[in-house]
Amino acid sequence: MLTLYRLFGLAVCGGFLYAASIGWTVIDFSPTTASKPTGPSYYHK
Amino acid sequence: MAGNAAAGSPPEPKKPYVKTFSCTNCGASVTVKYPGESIAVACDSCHSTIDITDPNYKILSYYLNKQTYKPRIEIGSRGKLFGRLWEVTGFVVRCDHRTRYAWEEYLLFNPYYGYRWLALAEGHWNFVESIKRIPDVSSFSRPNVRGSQASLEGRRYKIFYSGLAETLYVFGEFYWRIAVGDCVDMADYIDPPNMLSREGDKAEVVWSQSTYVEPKEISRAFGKNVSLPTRSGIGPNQPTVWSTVWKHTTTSWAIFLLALTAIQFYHITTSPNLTVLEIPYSFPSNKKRPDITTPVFDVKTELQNLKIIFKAQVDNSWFWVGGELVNDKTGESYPFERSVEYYHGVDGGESWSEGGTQQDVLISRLPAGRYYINMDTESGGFKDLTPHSFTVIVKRGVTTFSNYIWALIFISLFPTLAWLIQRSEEVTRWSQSDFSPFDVQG
Repeated sequence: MLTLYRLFGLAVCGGFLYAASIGWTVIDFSPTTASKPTGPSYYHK
Repeated sequence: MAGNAAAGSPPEPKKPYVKTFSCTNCGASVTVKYPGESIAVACDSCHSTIDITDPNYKILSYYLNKQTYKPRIEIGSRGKLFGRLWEVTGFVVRCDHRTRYAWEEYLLFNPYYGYRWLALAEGHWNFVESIKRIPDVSSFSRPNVRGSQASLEGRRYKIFYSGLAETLYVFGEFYWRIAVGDCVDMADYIDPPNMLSREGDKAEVVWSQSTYVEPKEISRAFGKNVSLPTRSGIGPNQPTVWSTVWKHTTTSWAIFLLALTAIQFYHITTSPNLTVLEIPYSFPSNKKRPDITTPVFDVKTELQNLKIIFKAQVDNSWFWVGGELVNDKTGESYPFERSVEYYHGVDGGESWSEGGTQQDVLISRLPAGRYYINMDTESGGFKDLTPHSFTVIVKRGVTTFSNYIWALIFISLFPTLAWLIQRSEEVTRWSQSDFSPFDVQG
């Protein structure tokens, strides 16, 4: 179990290094689409 | 549980002989297998304990209870534990005076190494050895209160049990004057797989150290002469798989964390973060403006990310932009939409704000080439109806943190799971104790 975790951790570190070198983002937190705004949030209207 | 282990090289074995006499209480024949070592023996018939060093075989205690106990390991059977052969010579049942929770103890004897004990509680076995070094208890806190610790040879043991241990039943022969009804103060301190036990009274205190023994080891040692009870719960000093896994995982996790942080630091310091385009535009207030196209710009260096930043003069108003980044040669496009909105005010005497004047789009792994951007814009909420400006900034090879955060989450999943399971096991272990660190009520 521990060996598997170590292999997994090494894979994550290796993948992270590779992603950094090619400018690849695993999952971007900001979507590429956005709805049109309708003003301040309900609480502040 | 005082022992008298022989020190140094084993002495010449004495010629064994057996002593037999009549029980002073019931007259039944009583046999002593190790008269040179044993001091007290229990009569097989009436269960009284007898002082065999007394010329008149004085009775130490009578057994008036009808309930008898059957040893799970037969008296006289031999087994190899921790590399040494031991013979079971005595069997004692003791209980907590207050709760009547009972456990069994088996006295082991080897003429070369002295006495040891096997203790059995709820199916959990411990190999017990008396120690001469007195653990340091007072330096941490008062003994026998929550959080109290005993320290021995650099290891800290946490208080697990404290109470009055009463002898309920005796069978076999013993190296001290044991009697049914004897009570001693007792405290157990744990650091799995070991446990320190202190027992005694005002006159004498004896310390012993226990090591958890798996039932299969007991079975292997004594074979058919033992009947193993089913284990219940988690023993006070039972080592658990997940506790071990978690301890080892934390070291690996720390190494991975350092490696990821070093890579991220390298990424931050070496990212070109190069501005390839920065161009201002105007947009009409509260209206649409279609078909804005930027000049073609060069994106060099193969396979890096690209960030498009939109800055707009919004103030209690909003600005929306939708469009696409287009490769001038291949026509491949990368669509996007962003809204920039910023609101602020005072509500109930407190100022508030939400949003901001900038939004960005990150495109990962963009090949080198010549690109341009097509955009439509729209805005709303402006009180000032004059045109406003927004700026498009395009940057190549920017530093990102999302990969770092995801990598941290990935490497932390298993340690978190291991921690949760081992914590659950520890809660179960300590549920047997009056000194549980998880019991906030206490």
